Amino acid sequence: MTGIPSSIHVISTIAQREFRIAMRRKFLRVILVMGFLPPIGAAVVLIVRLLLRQMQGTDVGWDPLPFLLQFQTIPVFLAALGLGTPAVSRDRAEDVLYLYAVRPVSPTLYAAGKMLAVFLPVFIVLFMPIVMVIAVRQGILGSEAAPLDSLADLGKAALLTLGAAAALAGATVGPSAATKRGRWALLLSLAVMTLPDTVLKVFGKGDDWAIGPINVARLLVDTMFKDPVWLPSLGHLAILFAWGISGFLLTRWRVAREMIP
Amino acid sequence: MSTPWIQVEDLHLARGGRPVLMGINAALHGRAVGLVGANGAGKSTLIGAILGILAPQKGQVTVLGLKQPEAALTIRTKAGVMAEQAGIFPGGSGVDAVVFAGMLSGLSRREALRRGHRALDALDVGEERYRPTAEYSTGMRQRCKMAMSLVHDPEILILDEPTVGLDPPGRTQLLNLIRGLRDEGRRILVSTHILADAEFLCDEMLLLDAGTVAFCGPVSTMLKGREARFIASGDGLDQALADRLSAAGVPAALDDKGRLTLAAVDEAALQRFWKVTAESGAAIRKLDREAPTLEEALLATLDAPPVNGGAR
Repeated sequence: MTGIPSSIHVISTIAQREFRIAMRRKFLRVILVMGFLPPIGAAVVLIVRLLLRQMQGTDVGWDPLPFLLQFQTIPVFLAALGLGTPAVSRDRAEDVLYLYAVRPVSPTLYAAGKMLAVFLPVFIVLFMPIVMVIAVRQGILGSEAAPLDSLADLGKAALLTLGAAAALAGATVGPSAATKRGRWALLLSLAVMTLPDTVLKVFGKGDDWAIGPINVARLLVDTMFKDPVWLPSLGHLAILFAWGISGFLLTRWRVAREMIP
Repeated sequence: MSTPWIQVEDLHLARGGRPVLMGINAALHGRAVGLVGANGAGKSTLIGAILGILAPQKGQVTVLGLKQPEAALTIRTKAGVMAEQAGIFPGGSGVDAVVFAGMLSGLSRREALRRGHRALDALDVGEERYRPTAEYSTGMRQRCKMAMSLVHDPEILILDEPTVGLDPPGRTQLLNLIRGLRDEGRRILVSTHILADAEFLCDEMLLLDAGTVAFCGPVSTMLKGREARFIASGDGLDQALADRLSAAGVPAALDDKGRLTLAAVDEAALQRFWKVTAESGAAIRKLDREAPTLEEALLATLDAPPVNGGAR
């Protein structure tokens, strides 16, 4: 017999299992490995920059970080879709939500576990390469790259990745809770990520405004790294976290209705 | 009398605005209690209330001395539940599902793995435990579900239709296992439609009828007062003999196969039966004693008028 498990134990158990199941798919394993390729490209850019400066005495000033962030969204986006969209729909299709209810698992812990299963891998795949690039940049450029700038970039990148991971978790797990079919969840997830921005474009606001998590994350990269402005950055971050919270609440609400005999 | 391990007091519970449980009162003392009743009688709803999943509008549920809903998580940790309508945790093998169930109940991965294999061994699940659960037969699914409910070594077991879909050897094996668990000291609540299973496993019955308690008590009490019947077959058995027997104080009826059924027969009545049949020249070739079945007792209980606020 056991004592009541802690919330952290339950959430991490659910997240670990979800991740383990997802990793059985070759597609997802490839995607996650791909997530570590852009830093290699970024390192190459930095080395070329260094060589050009040594050979020609001119600095082309390439900073690979914003480019890395743009490219990195592709594997991260695919990984989030692969991890998040079957997460709840599978349990609903197999009618096993009641199995959680008869154990010390509340709808809140269940939803948190499923969200964490997407949030954590997405955060790692997005953040670790950024850390690597910043470290490589600091190492290759040496005194030219101010350590304080690197630290500031690291902080900004941490905020960006936290927001993006939360948004992608919400925008994939939430739709998964809305249907019993993984494919429908995938389509629904794609729809919630693209339709809001399409609507904005129709009304001529597509260039400066975004609601969908991917486009908001792209705008956030611009407002944080390319042309730093704080107020829009905070607005974009708020939108990303709102996606995460909405996905969590939708999942919690949906499963609570089915966690009964 | 011992303290009941489940006590339900004046429980009212409605679902979707429809009253499902209406003033349930029950004190369960038995080591294994059969929860029986027709579809829609409120069995699943009562289990939901016992586990604290469904909140009652009125009334109190106490399990192992712990009150719901305050102790819901503790009770769920102490309970192993095998749910009929729910499947197995999907996406992996049988052992994966059992280990996950153990971890959700608070076990570490290593401990869940050790106990999971032990539970699967006890249920005779061999190498199949490593196959994806999606490929499992109904019988294998039932075994896996049972292992999921046992992995964390629960104090009480709540089993919903545990033998559905099992072949006869599998059914016997599972029933013997459950009986073994009962004899080890675990408290068991079995919800079943198969009354033979309830009769085999349970020493106490809780019979629900349309959201009320039709009977709650030991099986022996339910069967009490229902004497064995005798079925007589042979030559010269006719309606005239049946009438003579009834007139002599041995209630008898002739069935369509030409046999006499004797109800409420004691030793003195049996002697009168032999005397009357000998006088009438009938030749009795066979006299079978039929013990009262739980099914008959239940049906008779359901036919009885309700008393005491819903309990009969």
